[in-house]
Amino acid sequence: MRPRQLPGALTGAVAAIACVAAAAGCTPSASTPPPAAGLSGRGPITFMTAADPSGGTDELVQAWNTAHPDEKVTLLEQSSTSDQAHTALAQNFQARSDRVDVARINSVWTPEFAARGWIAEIPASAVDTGKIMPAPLSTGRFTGKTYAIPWFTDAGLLYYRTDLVSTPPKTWAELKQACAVAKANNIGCYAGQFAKYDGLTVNVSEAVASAGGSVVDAGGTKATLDTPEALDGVKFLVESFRDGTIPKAAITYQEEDSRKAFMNGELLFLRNWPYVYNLASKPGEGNKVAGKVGMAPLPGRSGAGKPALGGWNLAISSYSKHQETAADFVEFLVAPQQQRVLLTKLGLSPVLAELYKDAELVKQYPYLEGLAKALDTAVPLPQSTNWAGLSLAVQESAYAALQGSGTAEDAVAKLQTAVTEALARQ
Amino acid sequence: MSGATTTRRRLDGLSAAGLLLPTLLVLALVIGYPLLLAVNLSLFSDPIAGVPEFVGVDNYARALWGADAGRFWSAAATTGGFTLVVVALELAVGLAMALFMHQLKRGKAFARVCVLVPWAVPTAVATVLWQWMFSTGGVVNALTGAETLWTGAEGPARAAVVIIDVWKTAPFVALLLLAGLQTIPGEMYEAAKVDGAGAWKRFTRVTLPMLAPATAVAVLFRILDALRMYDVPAILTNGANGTTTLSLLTQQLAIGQVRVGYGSALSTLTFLLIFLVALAFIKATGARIAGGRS
Repeated sequence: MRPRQLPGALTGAVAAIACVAAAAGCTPSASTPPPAAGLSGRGPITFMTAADPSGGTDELVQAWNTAHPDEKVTLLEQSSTSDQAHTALAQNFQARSDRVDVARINSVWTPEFAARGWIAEIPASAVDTGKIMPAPLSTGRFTGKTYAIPWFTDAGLLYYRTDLVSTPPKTWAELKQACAVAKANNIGCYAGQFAKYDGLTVNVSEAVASAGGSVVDAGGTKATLDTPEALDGVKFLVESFRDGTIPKAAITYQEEDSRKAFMNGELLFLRNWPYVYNLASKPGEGNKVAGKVGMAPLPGRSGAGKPALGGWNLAISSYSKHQETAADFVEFLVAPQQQRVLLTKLGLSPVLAELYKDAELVKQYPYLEGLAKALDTAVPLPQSTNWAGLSLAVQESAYAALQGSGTAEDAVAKLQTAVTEALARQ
Repeated sequence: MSGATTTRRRLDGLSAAGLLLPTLLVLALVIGYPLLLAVNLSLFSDPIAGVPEFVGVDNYARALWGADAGRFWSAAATTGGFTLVVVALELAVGLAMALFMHQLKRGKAFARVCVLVPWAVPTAVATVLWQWMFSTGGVVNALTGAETLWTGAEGPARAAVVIIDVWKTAPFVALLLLAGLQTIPGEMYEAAKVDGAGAWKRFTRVTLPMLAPATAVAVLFRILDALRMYDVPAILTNGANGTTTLSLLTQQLAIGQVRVGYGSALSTLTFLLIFLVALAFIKATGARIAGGRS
């Protein structure tokens, strides 16, 4: 029975190790904001961004490296999945690592990263933002200061079948009327992204904004879903599911599922991001709608809707040792020449107003005009330092209502409570 | 008992302790240390701006009866439900597979390889494959002619998780049980036959009791595995429609929302749950798993 006494030895060993751990600092070491003494330091830097099969990013980095042999940029690969990119960056920042100097961050993370002290304030003198469109620029601000510079932007758009509909609907009522055409052709009428993930938060915010409401106030401190406007927005989605305007399958749609359904000819109208236009309008494998795709602003309750502003920003790590170089590189990436490459090579939407008016580009990319209009009316997603919690709250409250359990009134009440709770955790 | 034997025994005990020490040290390092670190972290708050403060057992209170109790208990119930259903089905399917393979006269090795394929596919890859099959226009709906929204409603989503997990892990159970079947001496069946036992009686009176040790090991493995189920629901539904397991909830909060303190409390609770279940199970079936004779 002697071996039974061994657990005593085990406890001792564990205790010893625990002491070592305690000496090494067991207490959690999150966010102590580093001294904000402006940006400093020059030298080689790293840029963390998603892999880019087009080769455009490499081209941009090479151009920079040729011009700045002493301040070369090395690419670090970032997951193309938003959640995973967030996780990787959070781990890097929590470890106060200087491995990442410039990072591509989802525009909705800006308040969180700034509040945690992970990304450095970018003074106006460091990066010239004069030519950047105001809406995307606002997503890089937190408490009145700039913490990130928009790299590329995104706005929700309405895609429609030009062979079935001559003029796109401007209001939700018009959209529902046009559904008769969908019914006659035995296809679904309208879809967005309604699976339980961040995309649902975007679609709900967009519907609420398009009815004249908002999810949170401008300061990001108060839930504002207890308004008739918010109710109207949620009602549009809930009732569209109920009356079949939105096909039932759309409850499982993320961006790509909805795009495939549209390109497979199963939908008359689709709410999606600008990237769909090139894919859907050109002939390709599995594309049954080539040459029959139109793009228009999203419809709203009474008049044009308010598309949500997506996009990704560029941020400079608080722990970077070469922040001045980082700021120069950020400025380089948002300069006209590089933004042009962003559009033509990477296929992303630039943040400079002038490119949307460039005659040559507009000829080559006819959707730019429509996109510019959408960007003019676009509203940023709810700004909160607890985006992940807020988004989860919106998803949980809205999803059940879209599935048909509970009324829009119940859903809005739940949304208000849940979002208030999430904001309390900021 | 003579003094020499006592000394001998003491020396045996010491050398046993000495031999075990390196293992225990490694265990303490790779299991004990993270565990204690998690417990320590779980006693701190998660402010977004500012320094974490010591909050005692607040995080546990929050999960067990506080503001987030609803989420925690629903995840616990989901995890428990999945575990019961999944283990029961895997045992049934695994036993059927094992019996089938055992009675094969030829091609045993081939059958074993075929059965093992799902187990060899990484769970993440398998789940993505099933996700395609379960999509609204996918092969599952095409074959059944139904228009089920597999990932869009509670019942189907839970069923889908169970189907994937059973498909993936029943072969593992089958293999463990097959090994057990092969240790049953043929004479026992002969003897039972002579005594006039029919096929069903031989199965219930010889096969099943003799298979009990192997079954106990398989069930323990599977229960522990199922209680920490993460990858299938994470990829298939991301926890939507009543498929949020404890591990998934912990990951969403600790990693997704960077709530390290609360997330550590959740992971500690999950650990305690699994630990207690394992302990209870081993106590209940004890000697069999330890390899001793009852």
